Amino acid sequence: MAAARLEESLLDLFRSEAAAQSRVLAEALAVLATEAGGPKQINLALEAAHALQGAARLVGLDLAAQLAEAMASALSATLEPKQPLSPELLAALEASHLWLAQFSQFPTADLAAPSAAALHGHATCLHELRDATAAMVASAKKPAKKSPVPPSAESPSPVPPPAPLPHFEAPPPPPASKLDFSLLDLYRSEAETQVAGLAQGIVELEGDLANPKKIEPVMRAAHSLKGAARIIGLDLVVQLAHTMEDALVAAQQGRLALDAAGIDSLLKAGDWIAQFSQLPQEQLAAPPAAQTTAQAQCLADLRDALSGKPASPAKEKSPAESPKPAAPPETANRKPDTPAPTPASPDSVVRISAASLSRLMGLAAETLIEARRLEPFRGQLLKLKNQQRQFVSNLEAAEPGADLAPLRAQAQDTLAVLREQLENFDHAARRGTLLSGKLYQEVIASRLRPFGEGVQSFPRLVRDVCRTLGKQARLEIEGRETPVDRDILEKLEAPLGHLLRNACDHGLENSAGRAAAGKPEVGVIRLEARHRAGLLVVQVGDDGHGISIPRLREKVVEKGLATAALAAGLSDDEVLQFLFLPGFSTAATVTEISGRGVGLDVVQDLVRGVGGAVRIYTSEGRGTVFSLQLPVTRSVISALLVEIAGEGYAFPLARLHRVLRAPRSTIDASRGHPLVSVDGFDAALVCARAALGLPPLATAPVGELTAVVVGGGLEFFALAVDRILGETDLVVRPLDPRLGQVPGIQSAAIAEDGAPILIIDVDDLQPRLQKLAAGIADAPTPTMPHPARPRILLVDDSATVRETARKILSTAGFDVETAVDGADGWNAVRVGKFDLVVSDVDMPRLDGLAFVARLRADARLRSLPVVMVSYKDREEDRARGLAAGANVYLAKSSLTDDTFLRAVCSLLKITA
Amino acid sequence: MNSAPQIPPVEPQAESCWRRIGVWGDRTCPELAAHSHCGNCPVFAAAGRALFDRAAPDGYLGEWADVLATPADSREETVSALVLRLGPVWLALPSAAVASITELRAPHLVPHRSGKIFTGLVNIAGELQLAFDVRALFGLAAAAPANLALSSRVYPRLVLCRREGRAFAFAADEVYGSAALPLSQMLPVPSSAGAALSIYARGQFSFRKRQLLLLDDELLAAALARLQLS
Repeated sequence: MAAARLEESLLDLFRSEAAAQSRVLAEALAVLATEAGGPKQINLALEAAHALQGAARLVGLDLAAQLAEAMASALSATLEPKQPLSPELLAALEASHLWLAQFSQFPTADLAAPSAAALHGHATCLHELRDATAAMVASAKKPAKKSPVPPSAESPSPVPPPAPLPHFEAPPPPPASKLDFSLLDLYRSEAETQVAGLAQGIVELEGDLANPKKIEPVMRAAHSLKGAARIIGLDLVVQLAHTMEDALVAAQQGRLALDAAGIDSLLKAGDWIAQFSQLPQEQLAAPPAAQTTAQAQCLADLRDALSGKPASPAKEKSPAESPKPAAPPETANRKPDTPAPTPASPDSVVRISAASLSRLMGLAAETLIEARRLEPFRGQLLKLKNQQRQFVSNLEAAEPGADLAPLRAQAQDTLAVLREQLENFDHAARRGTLLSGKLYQEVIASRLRPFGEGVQSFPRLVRDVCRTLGKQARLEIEGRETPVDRDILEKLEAPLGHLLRNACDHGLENSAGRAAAGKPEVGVIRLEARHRAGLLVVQVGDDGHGISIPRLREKVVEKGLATAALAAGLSDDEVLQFLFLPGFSTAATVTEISGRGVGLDVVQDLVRGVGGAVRIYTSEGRGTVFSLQLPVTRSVISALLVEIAGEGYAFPLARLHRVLRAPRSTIDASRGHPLVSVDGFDAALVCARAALGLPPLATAPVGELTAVVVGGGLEFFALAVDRILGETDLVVRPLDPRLGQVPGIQSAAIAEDGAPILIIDVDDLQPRLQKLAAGIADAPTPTMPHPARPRILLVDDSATVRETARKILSTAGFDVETAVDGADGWNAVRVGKFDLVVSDVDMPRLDGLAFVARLRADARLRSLPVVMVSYKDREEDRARGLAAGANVYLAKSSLTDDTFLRAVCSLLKITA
Repeated sequence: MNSAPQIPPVEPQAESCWRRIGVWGDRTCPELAAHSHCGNCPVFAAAGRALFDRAAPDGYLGEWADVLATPADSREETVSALVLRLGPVWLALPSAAVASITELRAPHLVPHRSGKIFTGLVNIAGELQLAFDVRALFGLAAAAPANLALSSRVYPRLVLCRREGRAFAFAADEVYGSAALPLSQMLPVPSSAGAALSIYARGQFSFRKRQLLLLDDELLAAALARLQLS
């Protein structure tokens, strides 16, 4: 079956397109169900069904294509001869639309092998559509009967009256129009906060089950969640939150004794709400079956707990056997791999505290007032200028030997005014500097959030991991109030989670081990954050058995990472650094450190990514502390400003080894490539211009060599720059997204004199430096267009079709540019040079026929060959397309066989 | 143009006693003791009121009636545009697309990205904007014949345009200001305009003895957005 070769990237496009088209369908069908419905809605629905059919066929979803086709033919049957939709047909159309909307959002695995329920739904829909269409056509043939509703008694139709909606077990999802998505962003952010509070409260509750005070905050969180979900109409969430609330009320009143299993089901329900709330809007409107089943499962678990099904004590005693708690750590584990779920849109909402905002407003108002004060100052200066001019002319007019006393007095006056104004200006300047400094500090501070906000999930994580491992541990968090930049807080979640899991798993001994070492049974894991010396220090410590340095040293030798002699000479700190090597201790022969290396390299990468460093402190038998040293904010970095090719660039100080100034005679060119000596190491000398791909210097450089040394470990590079301008703090600004990822550049900034500065990404530059040092010539830039390749403009409003056709054409060796509709295509074709245009027919703004007509009317573009591709494949559609000026008119189905490619090649007079 | 008829200036009244003996005169008016300023005197107030009751000048009402009787759409339609010069050519860029005009600054080159048309980043009011060489896009020379300038002192400027949320900056050799161009006087783009430039031009106007090409700002924005920057 075709579905076997489903492509994930295309499917994503298809899903979003299907969601958009089913919204159109839903709206049209909703209007058709009322008196207001007419041919306009039928045409809209018809186009949507056609588009769905085409898209589904392209991605190989034959089931969906088949049903969409049946919908399209049913709809077109109502157009000629014109007749109203029968209620049966409307019901069948609605059912089919729902099936399509649901089916298209299924995960890929379910699409490739549809479940029996899905197949059954499909068959039912198809059957009903065909029956209803047949019945309607039959009734239309009886001209005597004008009644819009064909009564089933009149025609012996096989259609059962009002067909029940064919569906999978789940109840029908609410129609999309019912949900109010204007508040979705707010709801999401609220759900995030409330679920975090919920999880934290529940974990605390577990430690203190008898305490009704601990239940209250959890209840409040569940209640708020319910309210928020009700506002935007997420019934699934409302239902679940309501049941959670019931359970909590019961527990508070003593009717229900919460046990570990009950806590698990509460936590699971919270998890479900959290992940469900972050689903894309279309899925919230029509939740996929997997979601509804998961919700039903959570609900059932909670109800079990509520119905007082006493949790079996055996189950509670052996937590390691219960597979459920293992799931949450895994979900958390996945986090570092998956990129942010939704790319931050330019209009994304950022929370900032009301107090901070009002302080900002106060400061902004003050700067405004301060700026206004300059206006009278200007007036004073003007007056002074006039006085001075007057004085000069008086002086010139003065007769020799005249009395100079009035002139002298005038000069004194001017001087006095000048003195006063100078003083005024001095005050104003000082106030201005102070004020803008304050404003800046406040803006930075508004980006800071308390550390506690980012660690709400951790008590839960430690509990779950320990429960799986059969260990006992308590997480102590200190410095919850420590302010941390929100970007860093986000980035910290993954590495801290990793370190905490490590601490539970490998740091702490099991109960027997702890008893033998004379330690209390419950282990303590400490997570603390504080500011020290302008850095944010976050530490994860455990009171476990620590790392044995002598055994680590043995292992370094064993793995062949260093000779025995070298290993013996390494300091403890240096030995510990080996833990950060990727996959260092995967062969778990040394029990104390087994697994320590897994993921520590990832932790280090993440921490370095935000410009920080990791250190390990360990004491055998007493515990281990991982200390992360991080910058307080990411929006301001300390950097070294340098001049390369006459323009300003900056190296973040955190990634800089040192600065080098040396006479050119010290360059060692004896080993093929130039080397300089840096602190006893050899560093490869690379021209910064070459590293950034800038044109080389025309003449050989003279004078002293100025270089910036970057790198680490055993590999250093000296980047020769024009000049060093000094150290400064820069406010980091992201590069314009239109530029994409610029090699070697991480971001931009503005220097004090207003000139733009590019901030160099040292990590990104390193591979290029290695190549340059090894003397590998630069490959020609890959973006250079191949001169002989014919260029094709592809105009289609369906992303799926666009991507499919683009792939076909690029694979065939064409240079393809795309446009999203006729108007966009018309712009593109005028400014670019193309050899051929491929265009769809039905598009918003400017349709394909009008687009081609414009091409044919333009003197310059008149002879450009055009291939028109449409799902409309009737003879009259063809004729219309060709009449508008298309050279070839093809059906969309020809995209998948080679008719399309052959047509393109023959128009370009190329043999395929 | 369709400006409303002007009311002629007020004739100096015969009895403007305030100029003669009042506070603007020699202050000999006996009433001054009671009112202390002509502004408080009923004579002055009555003269002020009389201004409103003047008869309209001849033909004034007729002129207004004509203006108001002309249907709105038959009045001359104009396009408001920024008049600027790129090398040897005067251009008009629709004002709606212009965000700001600032002093010229050299763009900072972006490695692997800057080229013939995209030149680099430029700081405009604290924001880094993409700068383009529109002159290169239009295939225009840098040199301009003498006497082409409209301003007495010519300053090159940086023009920031914004369309559909996307901004782009380009350097203009001279910015004259904005003008309302009557669409009825638009002529077709002459064949002398050059192939690249004529794509972006909607038509030609005569403006202060210079020939002015009206740019299609939407097409210009689309062309710059389509440049393969990454």
